[in-house]
Amino acid sequence: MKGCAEWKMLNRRSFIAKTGLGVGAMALADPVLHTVASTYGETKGGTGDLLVLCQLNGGFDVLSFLAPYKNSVYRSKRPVLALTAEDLTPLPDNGDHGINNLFPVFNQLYSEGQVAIVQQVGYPDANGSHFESQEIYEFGVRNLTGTNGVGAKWYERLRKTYFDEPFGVLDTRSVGDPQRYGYPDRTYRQAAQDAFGRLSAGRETTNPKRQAIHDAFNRINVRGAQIREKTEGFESSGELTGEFFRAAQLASAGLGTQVIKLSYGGFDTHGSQDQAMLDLFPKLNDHFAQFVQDMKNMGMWERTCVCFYSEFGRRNEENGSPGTDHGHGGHMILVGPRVNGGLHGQTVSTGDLNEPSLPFYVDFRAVFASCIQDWLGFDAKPVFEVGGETYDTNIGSSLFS
Amino acid sequence: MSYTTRLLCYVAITLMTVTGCTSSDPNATGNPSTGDGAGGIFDGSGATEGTGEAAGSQSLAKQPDQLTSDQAYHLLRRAAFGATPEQVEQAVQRGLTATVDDLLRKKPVPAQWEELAELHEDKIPQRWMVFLLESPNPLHERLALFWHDRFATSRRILSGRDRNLGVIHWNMIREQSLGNYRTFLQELTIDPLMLMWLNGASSPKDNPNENYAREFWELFTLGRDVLYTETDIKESTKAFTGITLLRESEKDARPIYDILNHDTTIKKILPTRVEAGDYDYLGMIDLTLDQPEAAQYVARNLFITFVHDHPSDAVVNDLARTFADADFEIEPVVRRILTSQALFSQDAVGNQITSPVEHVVGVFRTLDMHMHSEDSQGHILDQLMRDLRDSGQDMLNPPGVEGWTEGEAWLEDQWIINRAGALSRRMEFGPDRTTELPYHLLPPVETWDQREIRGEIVDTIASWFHLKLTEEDRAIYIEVLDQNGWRAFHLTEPDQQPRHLAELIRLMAMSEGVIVR
Repeated sequence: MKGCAEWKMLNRRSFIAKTGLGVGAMALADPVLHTVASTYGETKGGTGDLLVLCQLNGGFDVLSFLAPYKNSVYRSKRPVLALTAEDLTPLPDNGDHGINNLFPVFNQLYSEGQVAIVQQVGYPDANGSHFESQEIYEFGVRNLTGTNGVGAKWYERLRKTYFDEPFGVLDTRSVGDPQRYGYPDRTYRQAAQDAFGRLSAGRETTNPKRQAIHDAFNRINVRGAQIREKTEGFESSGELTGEFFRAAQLASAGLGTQVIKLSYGGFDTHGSQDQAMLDLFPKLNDHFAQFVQDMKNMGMWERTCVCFYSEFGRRNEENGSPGTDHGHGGHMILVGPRVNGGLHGQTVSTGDLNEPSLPFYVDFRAVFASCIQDWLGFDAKPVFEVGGETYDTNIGSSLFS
Repeated sequence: MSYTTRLLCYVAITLMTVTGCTSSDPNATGNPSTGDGAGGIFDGSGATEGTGEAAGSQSLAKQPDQLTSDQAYHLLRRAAFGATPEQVEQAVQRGLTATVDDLLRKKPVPAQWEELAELHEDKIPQRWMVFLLESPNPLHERLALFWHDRFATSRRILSGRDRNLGVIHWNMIREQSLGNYRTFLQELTIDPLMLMWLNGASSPKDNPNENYAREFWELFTLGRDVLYTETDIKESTKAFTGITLLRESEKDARPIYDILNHDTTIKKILPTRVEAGDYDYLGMIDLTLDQPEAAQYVARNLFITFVHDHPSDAVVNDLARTFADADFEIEPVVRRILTSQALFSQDAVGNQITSPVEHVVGVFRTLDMHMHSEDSQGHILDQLMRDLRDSGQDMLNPPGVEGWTEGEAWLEDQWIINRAGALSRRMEFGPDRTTELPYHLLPPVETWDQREIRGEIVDTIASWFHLKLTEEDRAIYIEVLDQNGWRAFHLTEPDQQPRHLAELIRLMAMSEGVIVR
């Protein structure tokens, strides 16, 4: 299984370059490789690489990830929560800032030039509601009402525009356990599963809610058969079975997937944040570390970029709980072998820390747009320039090398 | 604001008890003003039908008392999760008004269910499921589930000795579910679990925590970005300061007012509407309910959960007036909704996607299948609740402060798959782990060896769910009974037949016509 995973990841361009035509012709006779070669990215000029979106729900406290630990304003605003020199590893290229030691895999990869941190990202007129801000990030528009773009998440717009494949974008939450994907049948001859499929196949009603149920049933039947088969042989390098495990499992399937969306929750640390981080951060770190190892084992890490983001950052000053309330700007973190490692955006300054919350200097859509253009190889305009909205596309540096 | 200081003046040195004072203070509530300058908000002369919509879909006018069988089932699915054929027939006999009166009247819960529930101690999903399935007050439970979604709190922040706080919270929302909204908010604000969940208990005046103040408006009373600004949130946060929790025993946490940590400055909250003043949490609740938008927000949510998702402003304003006129008693609003033409209009019927819990509870209430003693069913509830968690709805553990996302969001692939699992779970574990079926609703077992019984069984099950089967669907279901041609049902060994039948019931219960209500 692992032996052929690398082959599956090759798109037609590199496939031909690396193997030559003779082997390629043979490979195309193989049904699995044929599927990959025909669906993987190449259709409208994409690179065929994999983008993993990891949403940190609740409002990730970026000042506890990358701490300006020498700054006196930071220390005075966070008497309990400020990280000290023992809690972090200073960046090799900027000793005034350090990554929390609860994130060893990020420290390691940063030192290898595989982590790009885009600092102080957000959008105009920050909204303090989790729900609304998450929607802004998911839909990729600032104005959620009265725009044409609303109704589809931006990565769904991307899929529909460039690679309209059933598996082009997979959300780990909606897939769940790939091996249990389908109507749970315990009859002889799959009588119930067959019937479940036939009761919805081709059905059309004028009621949109009822139609949505038929559509969901059809989706389960069609996708289930393929996903069950293709993920059967996956073996992880570790024991953890969180969302990143699912992401590696789905990536292994070679279903033409270009975007995998997943999320980790619990980052809404209004109280006892120092304690909460001891659970939250190592969990995220360990799950992600296992994912990196799995992707390396399958020979797919070279083709992977993981983007971490959250609906907003948290307040600069801690509250009495001790925790932090909802803030504005936050960092987006890109990890992968081909990102332009280092700090991007505006490095957090004393002026920024004197504000109640970090301001935003880079629009989050600019970062996603760079992932679309510079990593996946598609034009981002149709994805983010919807409903008459415009945004500042400037990041100030290149996120990919 | 005399009531505001009423509590504070008792304070001798630092601490005083809050519980008990609020609910026994009848003067704390005044007649809400309708505000001014809000033209049109309360001038609706009853809702009228919108143009281009199904007849009656925006009408609160009373539905004729005589119900058809389908209408009675629809009402009972919306108000009571589901109903047995006998209960549907009873509702038809009684008519709409008497049926709704009966639903609203709280009856004593038989001791056997209280006892069975208590065996599960602080496992709220299991305890709640006993009442959802068995309580003679399904409307009260249904509303409690609705408020739990609106006032979402989570047991995941509770560990060890704190777990009983989940029980206290759960009892509170079930107690208040058809009570007075003002009292409800007063109880909610000082509920120990809520005080921990939204950090209300750790908001001293020198370092206040905005979490509760924000959600109080956004989720509980006004809706997102209605009336208030970020400045208002900062000001209202001050009003909520000073409440904290005192741990007196393993099983209790008492909310107390820590006067030294309460901000007594003058607060400018919603300054264009409300006079500046030294408000505390009770004052915040009152000044908020004084805004017509609050009654509208709650009325809109109640309409949506029972009827359909697009009430007109006229309907909302009309219901809001009923709500405010009744000094925020919930019952009159629910009564109007349940007897309205809108509830029985085409826009409503079959147009709501049930949550996993509502779906499963509705199916088993319809099937007239009941819990047994703990001994005979072992861990059925533990397993059922695990299935429901994996279907997307883990009670007392919502995904976030805004509760669950309703409607089509329930249709995640894996969640649907686990719903099917939850449905069969209940039928797998009859006494001694036999397949359990509602035998009294099915054709007699003695007739199961007859060839025609297959169609009869399919029609019978369809009639429980008020499904109108096409010939094509009917044929598909009969094939399931015959296990895809493996062996015709009437020729199958009698000890195998219940399993085959259970598979059919599950499949029909999973059909699109049963998932919607």
